[in-house]
Amino acid sequence: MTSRCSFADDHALGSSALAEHATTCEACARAVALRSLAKQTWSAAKGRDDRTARSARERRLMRGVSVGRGRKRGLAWSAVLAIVAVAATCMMLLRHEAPPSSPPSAPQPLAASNGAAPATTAPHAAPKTRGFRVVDVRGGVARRRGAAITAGDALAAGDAIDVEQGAIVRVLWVIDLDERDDGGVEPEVEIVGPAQVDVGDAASPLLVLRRGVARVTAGEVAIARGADAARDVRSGSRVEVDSIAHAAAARSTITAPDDSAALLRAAEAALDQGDRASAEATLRTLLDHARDPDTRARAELRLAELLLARGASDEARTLLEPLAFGREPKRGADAAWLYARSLHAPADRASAWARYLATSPPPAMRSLALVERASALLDAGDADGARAIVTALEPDRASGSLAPVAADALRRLEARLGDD
Amino acid sequence: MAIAVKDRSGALPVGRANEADEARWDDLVATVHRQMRSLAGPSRDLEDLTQSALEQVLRALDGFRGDGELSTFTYRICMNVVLNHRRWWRRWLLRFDLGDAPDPVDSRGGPREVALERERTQHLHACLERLAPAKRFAVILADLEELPASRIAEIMECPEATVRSRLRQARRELTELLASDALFADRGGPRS
Repeated sequence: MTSRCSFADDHALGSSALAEHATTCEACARAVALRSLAKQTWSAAKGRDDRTARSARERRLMRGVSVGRGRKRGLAWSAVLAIVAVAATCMMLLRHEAPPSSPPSAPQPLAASNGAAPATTAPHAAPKTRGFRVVDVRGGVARRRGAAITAGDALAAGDAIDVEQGAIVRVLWVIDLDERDDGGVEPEVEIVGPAQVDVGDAASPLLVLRRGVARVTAGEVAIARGADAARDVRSGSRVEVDSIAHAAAARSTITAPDDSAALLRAAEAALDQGDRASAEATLRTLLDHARDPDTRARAELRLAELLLARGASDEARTLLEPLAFGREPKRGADAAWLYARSLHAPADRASAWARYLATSPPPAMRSLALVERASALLDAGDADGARAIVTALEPDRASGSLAPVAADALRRLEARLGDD
Repeated sequence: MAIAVKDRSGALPVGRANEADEARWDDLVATVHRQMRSLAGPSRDLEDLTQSALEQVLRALDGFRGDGELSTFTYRICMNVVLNHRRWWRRWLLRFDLGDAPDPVDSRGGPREVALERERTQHLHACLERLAPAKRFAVILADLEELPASRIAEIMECPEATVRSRLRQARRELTELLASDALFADRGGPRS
């Protein structure tokens, strides 16, 4: 980042102080011009959206028609509204009876876990004490001294947090406004279960990771791996303690039916972290135990992706074939896509893409699949078949509705057809 | 029976007892759609995202305490839906690498102007996408949607000072990105 004047960064576009400053500062004048153009572009795009086909779909949505592509939620608006109406009535009645000075469900203030008197500030008000605060807990449960922690909870020095498998806890380090450095970013960390982490210090953002994974998503946090010395970890980096061992431990302790869902979440979390080995091990364990067809299908699809990624195409195809062309229509389209990509022989690929297209994929996927099929036909020596598909895609390209990646693939295909 | 959820700007009936209530309900849906469009940009999943957000708004309405703007409450839900969706989409993109949906075609203006405007919009969204989510939302809400910092703090559930800090960094980064973009740099006035 350059060291230009930062006056423009501190002021809104309409500010008279900025307008005055910009008359004497070339850097700020340019920043204002760029931001004005961005604002003008934004406003024009909003107006354009309102005048186009997208608005028509919007209006359908406003009339309560479900337009979720490929996802028939079948939301019964009137029934939901009736439920909301009842809930709102209850809420109004409760509000009527509650004393005015006790707002419901106010989050636990930072000082509370230190034994100090609870503050009465709003959830977004300036914190009076520094420390970690829980931003959200998703995918499972995290506990402190046996009690579940929730968004808004403050963590005190010495707190030991247990994050169950599949759960992700996001914590933010908050400090006094007076101490905030002007360009600072609040350090934020995601702790991915199964994990154990201790809050290390009341004065600085320090976590002691006993096991699991901690990802720093903003700022910089000191993280110690177990008894090791702490090191500063910047945004975008992560620290891991023995996650594959935990996947193995999880495999050996499957007892309840709910474990399937937890394992699926754990595998997804491992995939998110790029830990493919752990994800694959977890999915295999899940498939050894899971009976629910939907869970099995999801696990098989994920496992097939991992197998394809490491080149085990034959094993991947044995998983994908029944999914794509048989017993599990819900995952059929995704499986058919992967199946088609896993094949090498041109004629087989062309045939597999045709079967994928028969699953009525969404338009963007359909156009790309058509190009893939045309390419496979050309590889198989059927240039006329490939040309016919290119011709069929012309109207989509002319109207600009072709997904950019499909348009690129189409251009490459046309170049090949030209060469032939 | 029309049930009113009070906010600072008055009562918003969420039942559909009569035409007036229904119109206000439509306003709520339109508001959520507009907010989602601002935060998610030109996504092919815009309608799905809007519908997800509406479902969550409906489920969460009983937790709405009425001590703030309803639109702030819905903005917060939209922001969380977008963040969750992007986590999922990032993984999906890694697998299938699809481009984003093109903007719809507008028949107004000459073809060159329309094309340039659409291109510039795409570039603006691409620049915004390169900012960290917290900074992106801050600059969209403050500079493009022109919301005051106090409301952004409510939406993002953080102190106002944090909003200002993020906004300052977001402006700095966005300006740098726009300055290096040909479609903006050409129209962005004299170079420093």
